[in-house]
Amino acid sequence: MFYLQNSLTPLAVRAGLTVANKKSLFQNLASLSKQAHGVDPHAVLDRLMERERLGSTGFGSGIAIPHGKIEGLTKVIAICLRLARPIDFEAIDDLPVDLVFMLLSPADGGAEHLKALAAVSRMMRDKEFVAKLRGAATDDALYALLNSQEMVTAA
Amino acid sequence: MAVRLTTKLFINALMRRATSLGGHVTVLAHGDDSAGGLLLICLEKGQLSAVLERSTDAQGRMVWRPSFDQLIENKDKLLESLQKRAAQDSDLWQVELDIADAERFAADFIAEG
Repeated sequence: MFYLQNSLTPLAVRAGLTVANKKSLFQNLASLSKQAHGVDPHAVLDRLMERERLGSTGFGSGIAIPHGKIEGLTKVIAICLRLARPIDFEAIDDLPVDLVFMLLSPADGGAEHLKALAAVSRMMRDKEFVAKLRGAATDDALYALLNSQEMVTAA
Repeated sequence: MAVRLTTKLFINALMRRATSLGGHVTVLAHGDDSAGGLLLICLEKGQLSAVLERSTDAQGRMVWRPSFDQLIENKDKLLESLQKRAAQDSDLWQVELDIADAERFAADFIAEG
């Protein structure tokens, strides 16, 4: 069972963030990982870039789920961003991305990582919920949506 | 009660989904059609990214468990180990999946199961 609430904090959610491109997005994710979760931003940036070199983590439908495993984490952590303007992400459907859900797991947490990926993927397939995420005007509104009771996600 | 697909039907469904998304699936070892285990060898653009074994959790839900983690960086040893597993367990399927973000694809596929 993956509980999204355990992986998110209010500081890990941003609505309306402006980034120029994928590299700038990853730098922001790294910086927010430090602010929200106290994780080394250099390790996060390296991991995200390394994972992306392997292939795009664009999920389709304007959503990306960058993810990876890094040393030193004790649990799965998440960052959720709604971008002010979509950016190119070389996604599978070529659509630009405006919703980003980053997941990082402990280096030895392979099974947990897969559960978290499954849970977030399932959540992002719910078109009604995704529309609500896109409509969330503030960080608080976005956090409240993600933290709502029905988002206790089994996987 | 949830209906559990046979292994062959599960693999066929996985093949259809992967192919529809531009991925490629190759059966390396053909196991038991109905109840064989499954090792999914995940590649991205031909580069090995993970080996996942289909399993069940304490609640009886289907899950993937990472397997051969320590051999991901050593393809020759991994292939040797996979061949040993195949020799020890003739019911085990070994399937190679090459698709963008293969781990997420596999996790997503089983979650929809």
